[in-house]
Amino acid sequence: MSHVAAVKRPSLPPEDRKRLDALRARLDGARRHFVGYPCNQDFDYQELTPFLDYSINNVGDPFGGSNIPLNTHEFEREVLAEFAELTHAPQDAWWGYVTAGGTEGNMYGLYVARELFPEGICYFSEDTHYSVAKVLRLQHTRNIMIKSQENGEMDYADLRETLRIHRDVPPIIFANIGTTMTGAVDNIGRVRAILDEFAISNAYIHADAALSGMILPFVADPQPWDFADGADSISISGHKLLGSPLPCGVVLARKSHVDRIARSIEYIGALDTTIAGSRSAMSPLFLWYRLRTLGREGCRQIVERSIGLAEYAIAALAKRGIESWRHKNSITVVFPKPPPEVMRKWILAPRKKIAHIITLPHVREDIIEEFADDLAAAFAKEKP
Amino acid sequence: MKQLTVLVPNQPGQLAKIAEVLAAQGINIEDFDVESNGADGLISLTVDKYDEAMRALRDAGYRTVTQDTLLIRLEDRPGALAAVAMRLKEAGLDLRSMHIIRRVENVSIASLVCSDNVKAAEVLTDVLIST
Repeated sequence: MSHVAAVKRPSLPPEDRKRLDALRARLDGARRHFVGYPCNQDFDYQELTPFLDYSINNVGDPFGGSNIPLNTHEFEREVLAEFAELTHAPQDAWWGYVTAGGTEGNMYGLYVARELFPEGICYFSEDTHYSVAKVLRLQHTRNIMIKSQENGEMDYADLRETLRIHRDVPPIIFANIGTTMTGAVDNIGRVRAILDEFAISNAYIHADAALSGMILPFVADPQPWDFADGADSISISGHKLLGSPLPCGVVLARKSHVDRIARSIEYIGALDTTIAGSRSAMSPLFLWYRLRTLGREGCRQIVERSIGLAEYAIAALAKRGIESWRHKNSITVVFPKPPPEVMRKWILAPRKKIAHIITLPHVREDIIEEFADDLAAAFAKEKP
Repeated sequence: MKQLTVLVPNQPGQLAKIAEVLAAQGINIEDFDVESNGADGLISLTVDKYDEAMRALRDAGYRTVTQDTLLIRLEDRPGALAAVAMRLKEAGLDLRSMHIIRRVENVSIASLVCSDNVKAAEVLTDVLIST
């Protein structure tokens, strides 16, 4: 028998090691000023490092069993159960999975809606994230944009009139539970009331609760947004409020809807309705670890701290003569669009005449003070 | 020959700015048309390098619409887009998407994609901005 040599353990050439060192230094430098995007940087997952030694894969339905024992399905199911409780999902009548992020969750919700109502029209507001238009195009779902109010919330008068005109077509409502730019929440209670007014029973509401889906369960007076208020599916990001080294999220849907889809795609020989094939087994582990170490009380503290920081930011900016604001229960602080040098340094995403910071726990008071100083100085320089 | 439409503020010098952006990338403007309405301006361009022009204008911060899309102008009132969709439906056309691009001074500019844009343009002549 001929001898086959084992594969040598690969090692990194010194010049490439230097590149990794440089990358780490760059990331460390950028982290302090990463205030414009909703990604909590304040976490510690060192205890999970040993699991990087395994090739693990959560392919398929987390509730469906798997031929690959190297998975974390058990942990994924626990994560989903926790989110189901937080979103008031109907007991034993929900289904879900851990996604690669909010967009996949939205894609799943719109996919379920599209399968249930192939002739439906999707309505979404002007303030909806651009990825939704992409998903709708990909899925060949007919769609009409609804106006937004000045504050970023859906214009219910426009929605009402639109539904009145198209009352014979099943509506698929894409509700923003915290818009990207201002954190505005489309009120699902009001949407349901309009549907009831026109006696439209064939309707579907998907809630994009990327960031706010982990805020609203922990505030005293949340806007109507979850399954109890009439949502049919909900997408929540894991890397936003909780924080994670990998983008991730969860999507949950009413089980009756998912079962109908599973039946309709039975012809392909698989009842797995997840969008992806291979799925990360690390992301569920991160989420599980985070939820278990924090507990509900820890999550509540993150939310309270973040809202406190938002109030702090508004006061710090006001002290320097800069007007800023936030929506109820939002940690998105909105202010006039700054000059380019501030945008670059603080990694801000502007839209039209506004920009924002998102006061997750890593955006500490000292960072807010430095930011407010920079912003005030830049605005002062702009004045004639 | 492909055309693209750029939305600009209705201010002097906009065409010159766009020409500068395109010239910097070696793109030639072969034909152009300028239309203004209230606070908005629309510059329609025919260029020799279509995709490069789209990229250059996007990078320069301009909102650009391709000729695969119809642009319409409507009064900014509840249900205005839905009413247009209904007109298309009554004409036997299938609406794919309709997006608001800009709302200024009680006027909405929206883009739409339909199963047959040529027929849709005929149906919507009263609100059509460009094809």
